[in-house]
Amino acid sequence: MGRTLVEKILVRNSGDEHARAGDIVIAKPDMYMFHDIYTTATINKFYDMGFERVHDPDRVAVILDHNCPTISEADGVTETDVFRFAREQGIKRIHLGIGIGHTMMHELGYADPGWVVIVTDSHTTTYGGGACLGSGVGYSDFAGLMGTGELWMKIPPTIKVIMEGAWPKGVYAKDFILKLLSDIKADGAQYKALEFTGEAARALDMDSRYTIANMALECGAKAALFEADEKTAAYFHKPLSEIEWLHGDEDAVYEQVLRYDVSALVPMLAAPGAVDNGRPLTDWEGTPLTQVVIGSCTNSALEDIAAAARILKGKHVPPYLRFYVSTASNIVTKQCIEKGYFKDLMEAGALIGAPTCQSCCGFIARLGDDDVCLGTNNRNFLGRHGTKNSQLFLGSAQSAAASALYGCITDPRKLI
Amino acid sequence: MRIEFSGRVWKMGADIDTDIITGTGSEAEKLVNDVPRADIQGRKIATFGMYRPEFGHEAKEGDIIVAGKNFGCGSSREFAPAMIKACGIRAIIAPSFARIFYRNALNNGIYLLECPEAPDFCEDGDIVTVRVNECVVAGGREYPVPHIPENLMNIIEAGGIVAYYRKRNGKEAL
Repeated sequence: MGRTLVEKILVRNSGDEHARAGDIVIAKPDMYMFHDIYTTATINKFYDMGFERVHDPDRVAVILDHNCPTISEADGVTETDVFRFAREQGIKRIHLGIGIGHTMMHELGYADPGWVVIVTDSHTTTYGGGACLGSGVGYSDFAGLMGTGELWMKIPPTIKVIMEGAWPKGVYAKDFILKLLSDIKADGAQYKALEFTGEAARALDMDSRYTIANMALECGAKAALFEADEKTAAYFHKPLSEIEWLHGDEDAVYEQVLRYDVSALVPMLAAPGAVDNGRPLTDWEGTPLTQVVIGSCTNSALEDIAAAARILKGKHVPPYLRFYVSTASNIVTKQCIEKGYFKDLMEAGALIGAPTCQSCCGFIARLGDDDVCLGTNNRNFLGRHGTKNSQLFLGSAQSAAASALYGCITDPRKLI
Repeated sequence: MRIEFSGRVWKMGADIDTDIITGTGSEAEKLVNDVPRADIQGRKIATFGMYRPEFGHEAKEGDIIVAGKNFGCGSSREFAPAMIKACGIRAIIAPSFARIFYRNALNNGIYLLECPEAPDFCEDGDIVTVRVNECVVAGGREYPVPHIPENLMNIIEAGGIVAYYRKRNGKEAL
């Protein structure tokens, strides 16, 4: 009997050849990362647990992306104390202020195809865009992992998502995942793996695959995996022969199979207060906005910023509109400078910010009662970005740029 | 090992996410803005601050949360179950739990009971009884619950994940 992609990865990683979905294996993750929301708690737990040495410091990464720059007076130690820990433990992979962790992990080669990667963050599913099994845990599980090199994992059953058809103009990866979330809801993939396949999945470039895998967490998925193909091989500079095992077998057992014809998709928005409350953008067309934010690990890759720059070049957003743009990383920032995207966006009225997580988790750009915002991030939970009455819609970078131009929710197909 | 206890109900809705649990954006959270996030005792007043503002003040040792499906969804922040525990909650009963929250809560010594009939079988302030790995008793009726996985019961029975690893590392209890 064949295996699903998540079964293949966990069997190979754990060495437990007979394991199937539903079985618990002891994984030896290839890389594990913690970030600055959890540096203090993780280090405290590690020593409380009676560990003295990190099991394998070469597999530990620290990426500081939430509290830089610091927001509250208590944040400074989260950025500095971890450097002492890293020095004591011989951890060399420690990075401050270079970009958003989930982007850096695959940019730096810390989330390679076929790997098991664990992070103290829910959106670790992102790495599945590159056929890497990324999954999130809390700081206690993480401390135990640092001390032992092992983490128990239950192999999840898989929902196969077959994506067919051709992508229409103005419809992108973000619209697809918002549609999927609206169909299966916030618990539709609870404890399950999602496996994305089909011609429309293969047609996506890496940035778009990462966008979908990123938001797959929001339906409860433990892992969200794309198959490895030529694009994966090119991105990671690996021969295809080394990674082509990363696909689900034809005769694998899937709990459910969903089929999507992407040619029937339209631009989508998630309504304020719920990520799975997605509807066609046109349902809200014309809704006035006070703020637009392009940023976060979901949609601030080069293709997202480039698309926004193309839509806004030579034009200007309304003078009252707060339009904030930040990229996923310094690498993307450098490319945006070289290609003139930042110039185009600034001239259109954008305020360019640092490549951090801060706008996504509501540390900056907070909303008041009368604010209506469209953001490219992945969550709009009550209280996360502002007051109870504030409204945050979630959409693609293209929907955000088009809406910024007119100061109200706008269908990007009108401008493409 | 039979574990049974009763407690007062805090009834909550479905899809309670960890931003709601940690009180993001609430007045209570603003008051503890400069307290480090890892200082659970220092920040616990903000628990459910936006959703049930009285919770941080009124939750008592032994209280029980009974909620709708998908409890603990969203961010992986372990501060969420840690704050709930610090407020005295012993157990959470819901039809389902988000997976990261499930591990985090059990690691922090909170019993989680999956019960499809929750939360309709009780009201805020009722007393319910929990028999871990057996059933929940509400309104005079028994509702069966599945067994918590063996490996997680080992952690709970050791006294939580810190105690579990301390034992494995040959250290005395904290």
